Amino acid sequence: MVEVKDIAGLARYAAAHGIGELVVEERGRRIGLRLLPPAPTPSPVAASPPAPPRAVAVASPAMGVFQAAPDAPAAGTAVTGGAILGHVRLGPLLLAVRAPIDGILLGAGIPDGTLVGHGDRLLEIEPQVEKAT
Amino acid sequence: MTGQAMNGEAAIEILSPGPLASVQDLGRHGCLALGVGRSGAMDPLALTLANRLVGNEAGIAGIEFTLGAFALRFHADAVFALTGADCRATLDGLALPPLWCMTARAGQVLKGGAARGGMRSYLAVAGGFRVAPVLGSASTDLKGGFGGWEGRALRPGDRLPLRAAGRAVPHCDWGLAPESLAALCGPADAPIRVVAAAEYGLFDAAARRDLVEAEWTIQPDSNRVGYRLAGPALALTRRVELLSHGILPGTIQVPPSGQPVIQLSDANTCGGYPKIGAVIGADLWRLGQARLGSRLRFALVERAAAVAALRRQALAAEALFARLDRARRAVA
Repeated sequence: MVEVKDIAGLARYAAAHGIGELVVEERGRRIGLRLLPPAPTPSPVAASPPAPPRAVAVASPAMGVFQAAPDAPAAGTAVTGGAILGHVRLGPLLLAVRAPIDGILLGAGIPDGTLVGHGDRLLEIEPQVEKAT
Repeated sequence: MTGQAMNGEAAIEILSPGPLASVQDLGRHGCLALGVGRSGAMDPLALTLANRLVGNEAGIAGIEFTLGAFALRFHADAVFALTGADCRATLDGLALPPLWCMTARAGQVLKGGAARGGMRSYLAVAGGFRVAPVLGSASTDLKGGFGGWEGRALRPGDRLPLRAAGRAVPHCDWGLAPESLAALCGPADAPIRVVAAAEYGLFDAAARRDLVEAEWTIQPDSNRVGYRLAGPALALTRRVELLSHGILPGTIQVPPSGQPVIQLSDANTCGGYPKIGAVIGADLWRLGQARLGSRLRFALVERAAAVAALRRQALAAEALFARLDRARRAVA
């Protein structure tokens, strides 16, 4: 049950994800949040607002057995685009599983030893949101 | 005419060769009678593997790096492989695991750090380099100053033209699981197998015992010509005077000091010192990866065992490459 104290957190979540209106309805109670657009701030470079960060899948490059790299970053830590997160093994062949972008490695990926297909989601990365300088 | 690639031509440019880099294939065979030695890769297994990873025939010339610490730039898209000692290589900062095959885009820089777990690393490029063969081989004869790249070690600024220019290259980012090499390479601490050489019987009992029981240390003044070993002095039962005669890589000579020398890829083609043994062909690659200052042991085997070992190695290599090709076809 959403409490009044949760409203600040909901507002922050909505702002971070570019959500303009958020409605929570439960047990006859309805809480609506409408976020006003932010005051325009002068920006040296005219650019479109950053896209809301959504988890990017790390897809398997081939059919085979997945194995996380022994020195791969732990869930919740930052990864650099191109870093090796693990391998998919097919016979004597190891295919690299690399981070497609810079970001934060989310949650636990699929377990070591899982047989995966081409394109299967192995891990997820949340893109790093651009910080205003 | 130097053969340097012109600007704009598909090539790789050496930025830094490391301690010693040279173009080598599997050696210049059949020219001993001309006084021309074999040269070629000190670890022929690693070069063969690099070639097969990029889809080349086994004997295409590649670059042999010594102790890593190299950097080169690709001036065309190319599929390449790096084998032998692990240099923790990076391509424009992207990490390459050992025994890896990757696609480089024009402009990217491949860097190798210090070599670990071995001494020599091998770069093969799909299609190979446009290097004119001399006496049937593209290997560099460093002593003679011919073959390979202008008959010399590679220098910063050298631009080696690539044969497979202008073709669309597939995206590769894969390699060999290290454990898949176990059958081919055997245990890392296995003794170096030798067969008795012509003068074996002239060495005294202590020498013949020390050969297989002692630990021999590879001295710092060892190189592609030969490895000098330090250990117990090996003595003959009597003095002999030998005329200079033909010798092959692997020959273990014993000069008057009693300290053996293993003749290797760039060895002289003849010598007059008594020979106690010869390293079997199947184990020469181990010497190519043995680091200066490291220790080794010998084991004496019969000729039949030496031939069988070579045959087993060839079969294990073909079995591995067949599995590799099947896996690559399944992935493509």
